[in-house]
Amino acid sequence: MFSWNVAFQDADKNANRVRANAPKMAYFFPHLASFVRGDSAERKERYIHNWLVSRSAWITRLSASDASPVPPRSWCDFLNLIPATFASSHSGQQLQASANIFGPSFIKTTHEEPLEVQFRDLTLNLASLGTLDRTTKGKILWDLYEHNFRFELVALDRLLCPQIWLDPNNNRLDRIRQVSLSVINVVLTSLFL
Amino acid sequence: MCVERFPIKNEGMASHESQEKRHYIETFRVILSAWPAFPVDLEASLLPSAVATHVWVVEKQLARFYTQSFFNSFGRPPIVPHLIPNPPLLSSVLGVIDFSSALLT
Repeated sequence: MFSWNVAFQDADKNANRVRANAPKMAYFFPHLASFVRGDSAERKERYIHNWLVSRSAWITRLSASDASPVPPRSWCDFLNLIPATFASSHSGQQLQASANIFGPSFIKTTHEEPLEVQFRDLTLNLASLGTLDRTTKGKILWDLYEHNFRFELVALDRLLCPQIWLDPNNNRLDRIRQVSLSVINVVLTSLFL
Repeated sequence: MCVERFPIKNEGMASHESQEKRHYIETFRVILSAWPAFPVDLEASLLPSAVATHVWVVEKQLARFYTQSFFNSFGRPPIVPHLIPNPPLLSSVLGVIDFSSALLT
């Protein structure tokens, strides 16, 4: 969306504008750069694989708990986990670090190695991720944009209007839900109420 | 668990239908109007009679206010909404993705 993509170009990015107690950089969902910048096709495929097999569990975790956004480095460490070497000491340490953030049930999903995975209304064969067409890859990335935007909008609204959110009868989520037709709103409701 | 469908056309604020887009932009405007430093020139409601160019101008101003507010609060650019990928337009979509990733450098 052109208006949105040029908006940050016009922003005043002076560090003095940032509030003193701003949290460290973190994302509710993996940043798109993780998938676009991978230094090899093999790593990009591994990132997509790990994201697809864990996506539903992560959304469930977000909807069932007060899980916090995750630093980019932790997202990359998790997405780069190699299922076949989970038992090795190095990957075991990485796995434990990821488990501390994402939760053991979330990590467990990466062990299950299903043959197929459901991504929205698409069923994808995990053995064929290397040959995913560009449209499907685009859909996966769009889905990440959409989820990140929705959760960031709610997080910012809660930060800037805390007094409104203190009211248990506030209608902020209803209003935010109306911005999009996406079913992610179901998750938003359970996450923040 | 319900199956999330993948949209077959751009919806909400990204809609190409002028009245649908106006409705969602107006809803977004109302949400942001509660935030500190909301621009005075965005205080007027987007009426159903608003022409498409005016809706686009308001959207652009809201996007600028949103990104600035986000940067001020979190010290980084926000993740912003995108059009759904479409095979004939995919190259431009990927261009947007490349642009977005460059924001973090």
